[in-house]
Amino acid sequence: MRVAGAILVLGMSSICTRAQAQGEGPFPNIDRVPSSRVAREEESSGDVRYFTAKISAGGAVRHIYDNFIMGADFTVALGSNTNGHAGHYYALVNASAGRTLRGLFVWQIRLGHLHEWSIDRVRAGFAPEFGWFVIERATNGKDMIALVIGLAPHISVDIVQFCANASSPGALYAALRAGVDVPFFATPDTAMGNGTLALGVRF
Amino acid sequence: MIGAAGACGALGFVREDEIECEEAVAHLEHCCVEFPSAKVSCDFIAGCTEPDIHPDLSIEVAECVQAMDCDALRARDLCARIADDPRIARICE
Repeated sequence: MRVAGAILVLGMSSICTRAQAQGEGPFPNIDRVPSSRVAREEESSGDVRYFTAKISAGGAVRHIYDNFIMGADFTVALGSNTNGHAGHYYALVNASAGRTLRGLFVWQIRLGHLHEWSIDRVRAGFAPEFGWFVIERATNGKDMIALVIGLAPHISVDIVQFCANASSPGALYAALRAGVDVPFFATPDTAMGNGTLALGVRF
Repeated sequence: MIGAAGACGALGFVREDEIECEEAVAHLEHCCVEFPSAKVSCDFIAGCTEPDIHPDLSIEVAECVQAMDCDALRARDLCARIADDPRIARICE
């Protein structure tokens, strides 16, 4: 895992170094031939938007009633980055799986929209989400299923930036998110707290 | 219609009594040799026209089971008692 991460970081650094030597960012098409939308934004605000993606994985803890669930968390997000202050937008898919302290298997899928802002290496934002929360029963193997909606504020810090120029979002980052999920048609005491500490790569 | 379906449990809730019951059964499985988990029902079934059906183990009993370590469960013979009567009402007095 560590070797794969090192290869990825070195690979991205290499791409950035070559691109910068050629006077290009890692997104040369956008730099040289901006689309009409990008051009309009450049004219109006000076900001440039470009496609971006990020992947993260880490450990997760959830709390429902008096029970804690420990597990792993995986997120893929695709979206639009900017070199200005208008914010970054992503559509995200989050999957997590784990066990309660007594051993019940739990998993969850969430779809959402992430909106974040950046200041230097720090990014902060929030993600409204909806999804499915599933606990496998010990008695008969069937599932307890709840449709949930949630809100998850998060913060991340770029540990290594692949190329720190205006047109590159590339980074290896650490992220912390803490949120609340509430099942549909449920009472407020069914709110589920959740927290995730993850390591991710942004392209 | 959606509200009625939700009220009758058709949309699926994660109820505290069901989770605590399932957690207790998982703990019994861990502590007791060949505990008959399938004999215990932890389902809550909303009776839209009939009385609700609640999990065999109440929240109080389920939490009491979870609070005991394996030695305590065996010392009180709870593996066999709950297997014989999943709707056991009192174990912690």
